[in-house]
Amino acid sequence: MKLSEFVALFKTFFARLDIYQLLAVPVLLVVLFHSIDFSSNDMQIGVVLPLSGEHAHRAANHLNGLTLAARHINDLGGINGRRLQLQIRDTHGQSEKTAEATRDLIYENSVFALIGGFSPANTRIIQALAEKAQVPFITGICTHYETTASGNRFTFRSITDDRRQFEALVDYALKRFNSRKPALIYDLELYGPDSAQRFIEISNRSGQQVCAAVSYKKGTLNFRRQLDTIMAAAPDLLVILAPAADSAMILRQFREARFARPVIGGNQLAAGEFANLAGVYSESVVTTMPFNPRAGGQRADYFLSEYAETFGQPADADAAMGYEAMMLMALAFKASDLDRNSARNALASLHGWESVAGSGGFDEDGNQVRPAEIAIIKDRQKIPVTMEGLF
Amino acid sequence: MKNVFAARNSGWLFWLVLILVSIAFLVANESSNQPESSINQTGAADGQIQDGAPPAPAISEAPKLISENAEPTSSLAIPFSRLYKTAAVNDILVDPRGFVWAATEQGLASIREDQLQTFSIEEGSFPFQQAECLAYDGKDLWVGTLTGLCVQNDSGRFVRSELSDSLPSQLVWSLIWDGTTIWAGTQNGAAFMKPGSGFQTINEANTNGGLRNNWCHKLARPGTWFVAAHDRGLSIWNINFPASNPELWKNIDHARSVISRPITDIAFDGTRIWLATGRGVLLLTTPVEKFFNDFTPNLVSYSRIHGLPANRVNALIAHRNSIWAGTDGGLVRIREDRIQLITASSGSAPERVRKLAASGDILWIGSDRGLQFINTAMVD
Repeated sequence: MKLSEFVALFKTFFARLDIYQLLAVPVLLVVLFHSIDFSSNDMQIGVVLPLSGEHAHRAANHLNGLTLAARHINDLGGINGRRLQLQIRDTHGQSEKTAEATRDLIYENSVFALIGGFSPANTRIIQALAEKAQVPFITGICTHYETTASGNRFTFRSITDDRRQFEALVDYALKRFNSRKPALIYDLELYGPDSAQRFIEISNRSGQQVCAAVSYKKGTLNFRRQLDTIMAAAPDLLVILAPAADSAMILRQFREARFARPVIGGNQLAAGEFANLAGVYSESVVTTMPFNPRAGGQRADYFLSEYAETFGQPADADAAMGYEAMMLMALAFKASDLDRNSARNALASLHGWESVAGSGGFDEDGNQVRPAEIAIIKDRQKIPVTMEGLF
Repeated sequence: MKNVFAARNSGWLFWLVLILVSIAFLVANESSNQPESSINQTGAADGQIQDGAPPAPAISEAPKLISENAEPTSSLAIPFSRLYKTAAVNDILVDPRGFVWAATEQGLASIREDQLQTFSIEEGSFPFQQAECLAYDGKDLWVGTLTGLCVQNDSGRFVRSELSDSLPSQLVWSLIWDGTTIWAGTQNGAAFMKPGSGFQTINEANTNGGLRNNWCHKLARPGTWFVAAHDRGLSIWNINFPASNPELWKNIDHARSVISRPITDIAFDGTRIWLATGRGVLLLTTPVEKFFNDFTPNLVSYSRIHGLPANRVNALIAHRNSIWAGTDGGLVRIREDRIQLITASSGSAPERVRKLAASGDILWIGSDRGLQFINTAMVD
């Protein structure tokens, strides 16, 4: 068809319409413009972590894990065609900032779900807001036993909790060191007296008698008072429930005071920061191990190599837990109708999975069922006790 | 002339196509918006694990851990009103005019003469995204939200109160009126205000540790006592004495007691204090009048093994010589150590009760799905 013929046909068509019909065309365009949703089709996930302050390093590693998982999910086409977009907020480790950040993510950003937490107090704030607004919330970094023990419906935890860690530590201390009289030192932020009390109860059930349980305040640099109290009780084992940096300082001061008994502790001692700061004193310390790459098999190998390539450093447990938490969220979203209640139901249905950290599952409270694994530190490396003989 | 006739003959087809296309786009747009705007109003299956839902890959069945004696002592079927559909309810208040107000996750709702009216930021009738708590001081209706405090002005509109700036935090979790003073529980401390003045803050610092934690999410005012439930437990202060003296505060810590987190509601039966928690109902056995001289934090627990339908208790109210508890498993009445599950003989009983309020014989029930009421005279 020649151009002139096309123009003629065009003119003929419009000649057949009257002025009202022609005016209707822009009206139609206006209707279409307002009908089409030009807003982003991305699925917003709120991430609430203490990215500055005392725990910034661990929070940053956790965030790296989350980011890598989100990238992998998006590279594979997202969730039912929708890309994941992380809305990241720094809490500075402060309660009010945690509350404000979570509130804004829920009510202003309308996030589909929340991931994060860190200290039990800040995790409880996120949890309270998430439960109230009925937004699914996963923590892959807060281990406080109470987080998933209060009948909450929208809260899930993908890291093995303190209760399971304490049970594994007590069991190992009994079998390996025949410990009957442990002493306990704990901080008031990450663990607190309620976790200490829980440890004592578990020890008592196993026939141990905790001979001393002392706390210290945040910012303590000299642990002389605690050391004197514990040394006076003559324990056969020391349990440290404290953040990684504090644990390293406590261990150094105890060893320098010639405390020669075994030392054990929760997953804080598994952080790279602990071995780096404690140096040679970290040798033979027993800890729980939230991430054993051998349990994750090929998934873990792939994750470790991708992580090292992307961030230029090896992945630690916090990074792996972040990766796992995001993958679980994606798994649940994929099986849901892409609304918050449906996503919550899908998460509650995840009773079994295989991830970078091995097999896992949520119990009826949304808590991780994976048993705690015990590792021993040798040459600053964490060796699972099941493989200790090989090293 | 011929062209004009031809245009008129084919014109109806043009208009039909135009209208159909417009309708199709409008319908498509509305349906894509629907799930988000009705998250909290999706009917009976809201938040429940559906039996027929397809399982996620590699799922194994978890064992059900329900105690054999986890049945209520008894149950009673009475009529439940129709459901007034709102977003999830956070608080309920019945003002002296008989108007029922509900603070919800999408703003405010009121029921007047059986008519439900909503106030929301979308409609331009409420200044904030959600409402958390309510108080009526005999003159004004105060609404606490997670973004500040607002008040109903003389023309009936809800506006942000200037007094909000004098609160220790804009995240307002709890409001109560004790007849002379408004008390507010916020993220960063509690505060009180006499009408006509600003809020004065009570926090960890100015009570010298008397108030053990600043996140005051529930408050109560039994007698001369001020009770704050916070993240470390319960702090109790006799308001006739200076708050700055920590020796005059009574504290019950979560870590050293059987009180589990969170304390979701507080009720006063005229003699003793009751607490709603994530693991049942707790009764503080020491009468309030003996707090000053003989404060012993002994607690009696009511949980699933005692007959509650669920451990998670969200709401508690003392009403008609009974304690009424709203749980994740429905409404129960506790009277003389007997737990009675209230079921529906007509209408449908809400499963997850979030808040309770009483007015005369009427007990208002706020749930995930809206408001309902029962006539408690029928229970007796």
